Amino acid sequence: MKSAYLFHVGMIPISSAVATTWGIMLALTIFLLLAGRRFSTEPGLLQSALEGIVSAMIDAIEAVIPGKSETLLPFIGTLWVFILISNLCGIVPGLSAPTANLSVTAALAILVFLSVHWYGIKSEGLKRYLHHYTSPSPILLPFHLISEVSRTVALAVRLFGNIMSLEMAALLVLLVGGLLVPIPLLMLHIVEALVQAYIFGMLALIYVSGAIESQQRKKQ
Amino acid sequence: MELDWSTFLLEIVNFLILVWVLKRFLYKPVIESIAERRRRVEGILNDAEKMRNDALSLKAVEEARLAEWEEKRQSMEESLAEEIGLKRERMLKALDVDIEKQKSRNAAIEERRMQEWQKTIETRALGLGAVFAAKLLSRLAGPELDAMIYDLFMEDLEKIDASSLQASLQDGDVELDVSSAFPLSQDKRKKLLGAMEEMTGRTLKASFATDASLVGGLRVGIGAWVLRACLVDELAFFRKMGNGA
Repeated sequence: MKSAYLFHVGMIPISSAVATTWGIMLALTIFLLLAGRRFSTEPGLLQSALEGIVSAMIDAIEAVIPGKSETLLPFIGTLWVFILISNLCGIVPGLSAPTANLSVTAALAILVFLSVHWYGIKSEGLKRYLHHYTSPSPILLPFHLISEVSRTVALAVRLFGNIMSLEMAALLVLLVGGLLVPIPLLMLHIVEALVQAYIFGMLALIYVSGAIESQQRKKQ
Repeated sequence: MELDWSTFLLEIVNFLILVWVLKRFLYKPVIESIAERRRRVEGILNDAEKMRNDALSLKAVEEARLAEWEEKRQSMEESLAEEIGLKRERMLKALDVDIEKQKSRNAAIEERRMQEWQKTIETRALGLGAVFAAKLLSRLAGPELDAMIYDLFMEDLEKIDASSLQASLQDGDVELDVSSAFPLSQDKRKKLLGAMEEMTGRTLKASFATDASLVGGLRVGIGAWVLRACLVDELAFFRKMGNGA
């Protein structure tokens, strides 16, 4: 599926996925700026909701890798938030979910791939981190490399395939069944959006924690 | 399905910017807010803990004070009970003394009542005896009894203190009034007059009369003196004795 470019910024073509992403970023920024002005020690409804969401993210990270929530929250939390909102954009008429674009999911998967190594190297250093690819035996190095590539591809394709297929299915049902028939499918879309965002974020968290913990295990 | 490199790269950049945005405007403020609230809660908890410790220390002080009060109260109760016991004992002793006094007083009253009763009985007995004796003597009265009483009078006359009688008599003529239940013979009249003159040392002007109300015997009046030797006077004397005279 080739991206349809909406416009160009200089020499750079801007696809609808990028434009939607910018819209999401802008909306989030405005929302957070407005919400942040009302933050106080006596939280209101909105602040309580935001605190609940962030606390749930911290708890989920702490459950997988204790003591690293402060380091991992910006990356993993942003994955959850961005993928969820991107997924839900698909149910807004006239918009397409950015995550239904393979370039977007591939970009996210590459970011996860890079972040795994980043956090791994940051945790113990480059040499010791690279050493784990030859551990327990250098024979396992190709398998480690294949695993790294395959799981990154799997991340990208899983999210892209699920969201794209949902949108496609909704479109087909709409064409075949009429205006109100795809509503159950749209509800399924909401659930699927939540599940896929959670799965992507949790897998990224598990990969990162695996990289950090493998170094810690060696240290022990 | 084709990878669009511009979208791919822009999305990477977008995501990194979004990470910064969320970190700056969501995670940091929320975490700081939570931390601030946690600090406040910890402060409140510390204050509460401090208040609790203060309250516990205050409670300990109050408990110690209460224990002291309780000990003092018990001590006072014991001393009060002891004092009450002593006072009770004193009061019982005083009551025993009062009871004994009352008993002795009652016994004295009872004794007095018995004496009065006995006296009343005796008076009544004497009264009855006097009535009985009067009836009996009135039936036995006669010249023989009269003569016997006369003889007794004459014997008793010697026992009278003559000096007292003489002192009571006034100067001048002294009358001797003799009343008898039965007429006295001349011989007896002379004998009586003679005895009286001998006793008084004076010449007496005698008058003799008969008075049946005397029942038996005679009554002799000289100056302020009246010598009674008749049954009526004896019975009256007897009755008077019975009345406590």
